[in-house]
Amino acid sequence: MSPTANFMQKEQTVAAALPWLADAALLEKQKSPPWLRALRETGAEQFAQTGLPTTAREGWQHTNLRPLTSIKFHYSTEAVKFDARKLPQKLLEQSDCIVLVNGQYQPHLSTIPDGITVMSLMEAAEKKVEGLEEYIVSLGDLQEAPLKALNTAYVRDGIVLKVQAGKEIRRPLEILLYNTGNSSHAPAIYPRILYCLGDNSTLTLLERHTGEGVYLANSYTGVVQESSSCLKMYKFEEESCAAYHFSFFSLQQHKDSIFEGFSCATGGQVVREEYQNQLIDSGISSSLNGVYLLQGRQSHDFAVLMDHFGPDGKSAQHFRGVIDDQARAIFQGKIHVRRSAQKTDGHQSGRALLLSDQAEADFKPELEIYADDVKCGHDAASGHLDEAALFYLQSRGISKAEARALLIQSFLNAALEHVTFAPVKKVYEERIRLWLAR
Amino acid sequence: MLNIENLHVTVAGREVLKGINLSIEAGKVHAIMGPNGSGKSTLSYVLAGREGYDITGGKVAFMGQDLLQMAPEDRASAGLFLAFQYPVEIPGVSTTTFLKTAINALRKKRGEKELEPVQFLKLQKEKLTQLGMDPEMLKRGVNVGFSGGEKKRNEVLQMAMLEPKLAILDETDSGLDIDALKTVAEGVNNLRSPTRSFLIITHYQRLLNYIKPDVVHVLARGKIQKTGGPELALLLEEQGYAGFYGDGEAA
Amino acid sequence: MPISNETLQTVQSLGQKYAAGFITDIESDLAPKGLNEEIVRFISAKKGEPQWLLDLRLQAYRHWLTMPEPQWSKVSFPTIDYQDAFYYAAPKSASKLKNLNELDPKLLETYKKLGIPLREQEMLAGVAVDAVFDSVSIVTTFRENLRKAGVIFCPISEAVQKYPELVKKYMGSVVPYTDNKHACLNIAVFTDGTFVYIPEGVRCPMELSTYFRINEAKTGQFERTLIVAEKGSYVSYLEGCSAPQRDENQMHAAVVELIAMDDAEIKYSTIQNWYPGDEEGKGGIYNFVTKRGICKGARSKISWTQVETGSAITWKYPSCILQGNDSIGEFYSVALTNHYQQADTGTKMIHLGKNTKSRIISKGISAGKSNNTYRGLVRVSSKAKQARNYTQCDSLLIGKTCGAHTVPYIENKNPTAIIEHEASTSKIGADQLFYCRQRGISQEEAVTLIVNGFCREVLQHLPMEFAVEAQKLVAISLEGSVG
Repeated sequence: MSPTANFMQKEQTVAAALPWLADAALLEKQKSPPWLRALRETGAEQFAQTGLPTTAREGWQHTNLRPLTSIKFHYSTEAVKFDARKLPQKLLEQSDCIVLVNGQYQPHLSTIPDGITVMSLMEAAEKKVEGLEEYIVSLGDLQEAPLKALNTAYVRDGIVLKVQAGKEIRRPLEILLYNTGNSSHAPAIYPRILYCLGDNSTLTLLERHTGEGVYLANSYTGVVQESSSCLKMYKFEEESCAAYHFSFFSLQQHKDSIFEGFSCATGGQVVREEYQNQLIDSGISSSLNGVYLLQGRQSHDFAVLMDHFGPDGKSAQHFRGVIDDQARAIFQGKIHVRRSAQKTDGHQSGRALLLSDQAEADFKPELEIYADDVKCGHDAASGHLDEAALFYLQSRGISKAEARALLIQSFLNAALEHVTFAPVKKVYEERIRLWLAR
Repeated sequence: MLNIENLHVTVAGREVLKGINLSIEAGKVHAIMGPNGSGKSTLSYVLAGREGYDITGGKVAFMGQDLLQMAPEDRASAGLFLAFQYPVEIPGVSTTTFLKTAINALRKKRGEKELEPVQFLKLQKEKLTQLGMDPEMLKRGVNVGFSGGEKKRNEVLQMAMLEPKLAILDETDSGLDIDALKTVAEGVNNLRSPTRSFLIITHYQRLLNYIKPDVVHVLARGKIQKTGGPELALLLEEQGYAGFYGDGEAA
Repeated sequence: MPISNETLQTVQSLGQKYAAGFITDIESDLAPKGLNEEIVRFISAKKGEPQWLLDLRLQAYRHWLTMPEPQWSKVSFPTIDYQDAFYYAAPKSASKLKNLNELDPKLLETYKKLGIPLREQEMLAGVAVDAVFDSVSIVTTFRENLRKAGVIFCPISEAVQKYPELVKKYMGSVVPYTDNKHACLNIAVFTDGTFVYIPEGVRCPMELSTYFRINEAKTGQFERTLIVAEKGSYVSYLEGCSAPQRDENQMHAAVVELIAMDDAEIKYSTIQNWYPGDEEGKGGIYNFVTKRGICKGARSKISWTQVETGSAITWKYPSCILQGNDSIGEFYSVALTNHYQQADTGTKMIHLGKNTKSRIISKGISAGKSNNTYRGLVRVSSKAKQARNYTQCDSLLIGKTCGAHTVPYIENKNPTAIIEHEASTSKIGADQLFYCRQRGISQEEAVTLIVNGFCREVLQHLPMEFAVEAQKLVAISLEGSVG
């Protein structure tokens, strides 16, 4: 049997799992290196085995993917057509910007600062960019991550971004991932993004996920931080209210590197943001924080893993959220301390405010610890606005709406205060203010 | 009672004690004064047997035994007591339980009968009253949530209960107000006897106003620089340690 | 500062003193080896059970065949060969006893050695015991005294005969056979256990307890405990367990159901000391237990306290369904694992009623090569207005080759609920050890003292009468007896 026929046959199994996955067969017509084709095949095969995770699966109890199966998503390798005037403005005045529309890199709309090279994933694959194959192929256990497997089955779109060693990029760089679709033609988008930071380099990223209409955005972001590099990554999850967003973020941090991540989630219908930070060597600091503001029937799932391999590492997670209407928030944070990770200092905190009778918050803060000389802890809490405080503020002449906003803002601030880059913090604050005034 | 000969100690590759010679006879009160970082606390920890110190030379005899070869608990049962500069918290273990365990461990090692609960409680109450301490404190976890003064008083209570032959007081005066200092000193003075010796380690002369030492040593740069009577402490209070650095280097 | 080797050895030696590891040489009446419908019928026939119970057993057995093994916990073990075990074992001499004098002296001796004298005059005042040996209850003490108070305290096999209506009404009402594979097997093959019924307004005049002993080799123990507390009643119940030291693994799959009506309170304490296996991880009991209570009535309260030191594998989650308004659920747990022991234990607090409160305090201690997991669920339904939960999980690691894990699940569907969870992981501080040793306390004693202090918040919830046993087990020397 020829490899292609074999692939087609497997595709049929996959097609049984999800009809629209069969489109992946189109990829075979593309010219791409054999390793990439093999990779897609592995992804498709793995996904066919697990299918979409059901709520019976550990870690997926609270995110219901059934609605996905009722929509026919289309996958296309054609260049996406869009109106460039409709693209949103940049978040900061002083910044560079890279634009991807439906996962496809748009060089003519992008400005790249010195010290950084950016190319589309396919271009990088053709040019055999050093380390790309190794990195992309070392995916880890796809069985454990069905949506990563799905993304892998379609690996094609996306970018590779490299920061030269020793380079300190002063201007923040915005990555705009703009998606567009409609209910009669809902695209499935599978961007794969790779950020590589050389030794001692510094980068501040603003990753904005937004769009209009119905679409499925299933992205996979891989990050390699070499020794003593510093990455600040600020995410804006502002997908269209009819969109499905599943992002998988995988970070490998080397000696003495620093990562500061933040995500402000307001968009999407069903969203899951999964983060896996590996603290590989010693002296690493990794912090990932976020806020979520949910309304309507939104469902948002943060699944965070801080995986400590090396000693003297420090990790922190601070998440705060408000949930209104019939929305549902899920926070699953885990600190995993391997035997080799002595002197780890890990902390995790997740708190939610329920604003309505039908809102729901589900937490699973987890510790898995195999080293004895560590300081690890977590706390989680779920509750409502403090009526006494509300009344107190009202009695001082502040309107109820204003008092509510004030209390919510101060609650969210416990996460927001971990954003060390002031201009972005301001943007986040504005987002929160707008949401509260909606 | 205690005889230290040419003791050299290294901590994390740095020599902290550079040949200490010190001899304490029964019934005497010795004071060691010195600036920060002179090696005072190292000396007390080495004598009590804390891990993490490399003894690179010298010997220490306590009641005729080779002290440095003994486990910390054996040093304790031989009669050596250290009042810690920073008493350690043990959550969930009440001071009463802790003391009772300690006393009976010591008695057992010495071949004595364990104390009956009634005897023990009587003894504890007696000592407690002497030190003017609140009995409620005994029910709380050892040193957990204690103020600085309470912790130090708790050290003195333990000393009174365990009746050591040699008590080392490591900066017992630090962080105490004048009233607490007086109570602590009184507790120590009550324990003075011809068979019991004290080694008082302090930065300031203040405590020595209330506990009169027989001998005062000045420790600086890892060595005893001068030995004298109580008047030496007063001199130090006036002139500071500057004169004891040899080459004029200040602390 | 890392912990010294000496400390590790000290702690390891703590686990080597399994005093309950002896075997009672007694002739047993065994069912044929293996598991099938015939065995289920055999057990039912042995007990002379009514048809409804046999039907229930068979229904459960057939369902069991279709159920998967629970996979989600952190414990791992080879696939269980259910055919390689006996499902019924009873001392021959124990059948149809009229009084204690007829009991085989070997059995009396066994319990005496375990610290559970069965002769009433020798017993702790105020504690009644049901002694379950392998598959049967051999003695239940103080029954007369209790009967005067209206309290029923008897083997469950006897209750099936004497109080069929009560048993039929409540058995399986809290833990249905469909709940999980182990609970399902239990109803199919359970052989004995304890039944307690406290009538309305009665405060049970003494502590009730059951002592479970597995003696026979290759035998699984499947007992059921059912406690019903009527309106305004109170009962405090304690179970203890042990088994001989054997090289093969034995299974213990118990089910406990508690029912508390309006204003009733049930306090359930467990001291679990099943044989944990040896230092190499050979042998030991697989303890797969389903324990659940329902606070059916308003203002009712169920409180679980457990000290888990034994078993090769512990898989248990004593839970509370807080159905009545203003009802309260509590869970206090100490789990100590050493060598190759694995424990995955915790609780579920299901808040259904208004103003329900729950409190969870869990202390896990891992040593040797063991793994200790707290797994707990707090669920607040949309109707549970003003529900309140507080959870605190602390883990202590002793040595570099063990693991401590915390896996809480928190699900809140009510905006007026307040749920708080805190967890920490630490080790015995080198400073703490040195401080103790400087006061003359040996390394071994210092470790037990510190561990004991770590557990104190939980141990103080045990009935006074059983403090001694708990002290022995967690190697507590003085805590709780003075001051």
